Amino acid sequence: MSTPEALWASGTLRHLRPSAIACRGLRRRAGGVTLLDGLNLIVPVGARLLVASRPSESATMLLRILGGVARAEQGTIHLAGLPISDDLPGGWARRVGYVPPTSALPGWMSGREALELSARLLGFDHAERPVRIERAMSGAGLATTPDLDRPLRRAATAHRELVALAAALVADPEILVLDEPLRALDPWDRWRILGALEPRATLVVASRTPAAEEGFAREVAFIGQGRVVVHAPVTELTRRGLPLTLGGLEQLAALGVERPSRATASPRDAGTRPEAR
Amino acid sequence: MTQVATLAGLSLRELWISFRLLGGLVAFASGGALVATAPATAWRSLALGVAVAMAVGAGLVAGAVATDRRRGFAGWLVARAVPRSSLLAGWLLAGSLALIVGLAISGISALVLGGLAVMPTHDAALPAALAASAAAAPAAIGVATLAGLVAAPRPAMAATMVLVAGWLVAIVLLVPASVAAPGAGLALLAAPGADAPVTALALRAAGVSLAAGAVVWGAALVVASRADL
Repeated sequence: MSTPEALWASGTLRHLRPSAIACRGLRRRAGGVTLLDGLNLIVPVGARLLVASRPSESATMLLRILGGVARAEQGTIHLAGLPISDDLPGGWARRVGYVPPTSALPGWMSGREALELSARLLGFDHAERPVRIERAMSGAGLATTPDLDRPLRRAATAHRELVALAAALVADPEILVLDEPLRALDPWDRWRILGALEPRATLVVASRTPAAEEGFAREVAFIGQGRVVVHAPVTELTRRGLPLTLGGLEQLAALGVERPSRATASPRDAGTRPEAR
Repeated sequence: MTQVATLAGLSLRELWISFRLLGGLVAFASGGALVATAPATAWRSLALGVAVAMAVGAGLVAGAVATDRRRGFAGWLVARAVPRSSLLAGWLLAGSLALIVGLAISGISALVLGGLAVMPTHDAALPAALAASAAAAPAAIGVATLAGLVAAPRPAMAATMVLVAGWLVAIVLLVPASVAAPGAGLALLAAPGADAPVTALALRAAGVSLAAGAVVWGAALVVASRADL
């Protein structure tokens, strides 16, 4: 058994709750609107975090920055204590799997081609690619059907979403960042697939309809005016009789039960979870 | 390098499937065919045709880059461990290859339709002038990539076509072949026998064009490093 396996098996990591993601002072404007205004957020390893926001573009922008496809104007992001940089090929992208809300793949490409391309670009050698692809397909609940060889423009939206998820799983990332994932699937299938994702992976999911993530998310972060104004277990809402909706989260913020990330902590502290108030 | 070749192959496939590549190549063949329409000014017509065809080709590449960015495919690639610099290199390789193949098609088209009568007296003049013109391709594709990184597909296409056409047509009409300017290969193509030695002038024109291309690509790298993909 490898050292990380042993740590997980013993529950040590779950007990220590080191941070998978530590964002500090993220600032970003887009289209004349301040979407992130000094945002701080710490996400522990193995978390199932739901991110919601008003406006909804704030959560999307945060996930795009975590996925490496957008830049913050200010602030820092640490993954497991290390600053991220896309100048290290295979570094960030292998550790973070980002799935955008709509399929970004060209319509002429088949699902199989997309998965093969993903494995090739991630740098896996010829022998390892089929194994990676098989595992990713299994993880995303994507069956080997004739649809897999058809151009994606002819495939159902649900199939395209599963291909996008499988492509993100090829690298077996330790952090999965999903923006409105698997919306085209029926709720049961969606819950089954998201619930079966690698339990050791940290999941960050953005949603405009938080109630749809009930039963899947364990923590929720609500971004208001560009900052995290609520970061609490989902059970906090239940305890106070509030629904898991944007309105419920706003009420929770108004009640002052915010459990924000430690804004004043130094990057050296990025390996620990913030204490609840 | 394998990653860049894969990306260039993807870009070429995208250009081909969307009929953009075919449209560009037809523009180059038509540019070459201009020699047959006005034998008295055959070379100037060819150079103008090639200048416009390069502008059309660059515009199509700008549209493809902007479409990749808007659809999120560029971001998908970056999320697959592709550095932004490699993404740019893939676009540069694919776009330049398309323009260089287009230039060769223009030359062949000119020779086939114009016949030997339009050949310049200096045997090396046509290939040297075409090669020097091809050296402007990276700069033209750099402009296309910059436009594709900052604008929506249609504005990016239009802006690139106007900019590249303005630049190259001005070179053909206003700049003597002896002047060292980016794109001066087209001036040489407009009057291949007028200035000697052709090969030396072609080499100098190619060098200046490539240097200009390097400056444009430096700017594209800076923009790409900050762009939302």
